[in-house]
Amino acid sequence: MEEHTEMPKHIVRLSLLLVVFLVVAFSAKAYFTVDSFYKYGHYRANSVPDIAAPDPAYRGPAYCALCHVDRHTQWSSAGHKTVKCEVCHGPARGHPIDPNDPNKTAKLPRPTAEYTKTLCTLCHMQLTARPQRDPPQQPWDPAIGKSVPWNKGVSQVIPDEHSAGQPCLFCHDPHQPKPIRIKEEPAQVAQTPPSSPDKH
Amino acid sequence: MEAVHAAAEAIYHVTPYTGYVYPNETVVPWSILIVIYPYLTGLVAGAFTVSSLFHVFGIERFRPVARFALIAALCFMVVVPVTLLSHLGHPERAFNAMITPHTTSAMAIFGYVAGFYVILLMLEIWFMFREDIVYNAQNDRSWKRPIYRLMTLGSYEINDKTRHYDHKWLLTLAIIGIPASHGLHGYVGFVFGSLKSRDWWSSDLMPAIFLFSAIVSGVSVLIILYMIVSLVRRVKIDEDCIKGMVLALWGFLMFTVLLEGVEFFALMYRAREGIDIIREYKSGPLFWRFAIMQIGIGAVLPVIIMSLMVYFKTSGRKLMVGAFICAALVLTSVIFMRYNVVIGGQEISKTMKGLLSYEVPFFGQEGWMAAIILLSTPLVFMYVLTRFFNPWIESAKSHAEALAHAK
Amino acid sequence: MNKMSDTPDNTLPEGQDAGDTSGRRRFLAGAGAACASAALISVLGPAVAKDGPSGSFPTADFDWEKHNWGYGIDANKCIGCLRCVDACKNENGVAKDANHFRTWVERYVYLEGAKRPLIDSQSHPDNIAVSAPNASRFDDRYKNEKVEKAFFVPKMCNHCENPSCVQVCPTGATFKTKDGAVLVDKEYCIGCQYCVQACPYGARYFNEIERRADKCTWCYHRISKGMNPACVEICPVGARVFGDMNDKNSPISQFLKDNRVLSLKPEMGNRPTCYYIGIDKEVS
Repeated sequence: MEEHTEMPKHIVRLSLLLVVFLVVAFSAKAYFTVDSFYKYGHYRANSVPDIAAPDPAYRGPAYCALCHVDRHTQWSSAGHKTVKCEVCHGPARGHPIDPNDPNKTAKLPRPTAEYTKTLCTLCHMQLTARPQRDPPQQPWDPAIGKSVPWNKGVSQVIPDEHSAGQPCLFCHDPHQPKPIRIKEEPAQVAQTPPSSPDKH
Repeated sequence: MEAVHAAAEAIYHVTPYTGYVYPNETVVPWSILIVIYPYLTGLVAGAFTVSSLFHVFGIERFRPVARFALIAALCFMVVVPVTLLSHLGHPERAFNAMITPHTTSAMAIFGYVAGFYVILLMLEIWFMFREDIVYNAQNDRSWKRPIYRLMTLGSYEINDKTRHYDHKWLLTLAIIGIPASHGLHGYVGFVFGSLKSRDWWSSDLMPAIFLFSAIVSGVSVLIILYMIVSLVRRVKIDEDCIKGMVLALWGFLMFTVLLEGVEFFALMYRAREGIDIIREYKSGPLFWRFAIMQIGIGAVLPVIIMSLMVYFKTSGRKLMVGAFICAALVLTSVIFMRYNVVIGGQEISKTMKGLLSYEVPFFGQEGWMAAIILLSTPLVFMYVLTRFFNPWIESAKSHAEALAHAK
Repeated sequence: MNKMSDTPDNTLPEGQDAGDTSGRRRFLAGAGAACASAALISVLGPAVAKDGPSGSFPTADFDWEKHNWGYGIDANKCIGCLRCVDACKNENGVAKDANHFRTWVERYVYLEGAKRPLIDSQSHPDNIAVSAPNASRFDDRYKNEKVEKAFFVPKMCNHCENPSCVQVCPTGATFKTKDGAVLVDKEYCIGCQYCVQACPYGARYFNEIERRADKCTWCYHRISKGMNPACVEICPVGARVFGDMNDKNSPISQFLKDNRVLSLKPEMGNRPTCYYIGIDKEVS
């Protein structure tokens, strides 16, 4: 009704203030939008290379085989061949070279004889819900001339009945668990259990 | 690294459970701060409703509290982001949600809705008090004068034309404000109701429940604040205004109880997968929190009291006492409702095979003390803001003249 | 101003600014005020600029456009040795406690005559009690019970086709990559934990050290280098299978072809890309 008259001063100024605010907010949004945002979608594309960057901790048996040729050959031809090196020895990152001191070698902790009682039973202790080896004996397949790999399950023991507290290492070489051996003396090995290098 | 982990263990709170819960669920993500966040938002929506009932719907009996209601709404509103920020892992990055808002996220849009609403409230208060601001900018002799002058935007013009414009703006803002404030709070309900991961939250009724409980809590807080301020100012409480607010509270509260009841019974009756654990929860820790406090004492009892007050046409001192008690009960009920939704939802495991029992600690960032501090800051803001904008007088000019006349 | 070309929606005519010169108009200053105008901006919506990188993305040797990862879990094979759980924590620096896991293993035990299974995971206090550092294990609590049926179920992020966590993230700090992984941008996450709430599978957790949401990445730093995720690498019985579903000869393609697979909580509509065989109706 009063369009033709001039608007009061405070209304004009308030409207200007709102416009300025909008412009500032628009500009701020544009200015603060990080570089790679919206490049592939609603996220910061540069975060993906960052997430892909870290050095893997677990390296796989092929990495171990570069040096430990004999062990690898022994292990890969025996019954534990699905149990990869780092399952028992821990992640290989930082081994053999200590990343903090390239002149120094970083040893991977080796399980002690005593610790094998903990380590081996993680898989081989008889446990409810743990699938039994099926079939119990590894069957010989005449067609291919070798044993058929087990479909599922692991052989399970009740540790106290099975070994009367002896370390597993005493009879079984973890790299080649069968046939059993008898060691006169427990192996002289490092006293620390395998653990993560805790570097990231 | 181990030491760092040990330090981290000290800062999070592991929640005991029964049955089976996912391992990650043992650290409850949202705690007491997220309980008071919808509580405060609800007070905003409720207070704004009362103000709109006067400004837009023209209900005259709300005139004494209409201006104060807006100030109260703003004071509650500015604390809402604080509760959210204090809960964030990286509060300094909070603006990421505004710089790159994810349009599918309820939470990102909330930032815009809340920001829009804060500005709307500030504008509405500015227009409402513009004549007072101009008067004080010219006549105030205290340190506040430069602030008033700043707020005039350099225009001291007051005449029929400016009044006409101010009134038009005020009405427009109030009309926009109704969907904005109700949208804001219905929206908070949507933040919970839209999550399919938890049966306790996933409900179409959630926004409506939040909205109506918001309105009753806002009306209640105005009843209480109005009474207390009047007692402090030693002025007579407007009985007609209290009566109006009691009627509004009575009506909205019945509807709220109905909605909450429908939601709960529908969930129980549908008896989908996991109903066993909800039954166990309902008759266990939830019994006193939900059945007794939220519904029984907090909602049904005030409905009965108010029904009797309406039936017997209670007035005078009895009305005041009754209104105060009912308002206090409703405020209690609503905070229990927020607790039962926010904490309750997380106490029922996503596995639907276990229950957690979260206990709010007293100290710390997520404790009762932080919650109490945050809940009381709006009162401090209200004290400060009412020093600048006196909502209890018709206008600063007439008030000053009346004072001068009295001398 | 960086990369304005990426966000063409953000440019207003700067000239509008010129009219106002008053320095004292600060009525609207304040934290909340900054929010408001953006409500209008969001309506315009972000424009996706696909200016295609010259080389492959995300790394020089790895192009995510060429892959479509999938994950298979054979619960029949799982022996509950928990090597995957420990390996995941070692590989990804996950807190070594009972409350933060990117992958975990559940044990379902039906006692004779019971209608419902008893369920626990490695984070149950009794299981923690018999565990050693880096040697998590399940206790043998059912050895004297009559057990009718029992099995282990490994759990992890399902890297859903329709991830609830991505849907609710307010900032875009979590997203689904072109090759199918759901990742978290640790420098952009505000730590609101809405995603932790939204995940129906409990796969996300709050990383208290970095103060942000955290989850399984399928070991994105490994798969982008041609390796398997650590859990797959370490599983001694082959219960976990990973591979590129674009490659018909990959382990996951074989797994999907040879088996009738299930996914967890299909009613959620998330369409997981972790496929299960050998699970039971009670597994959710």
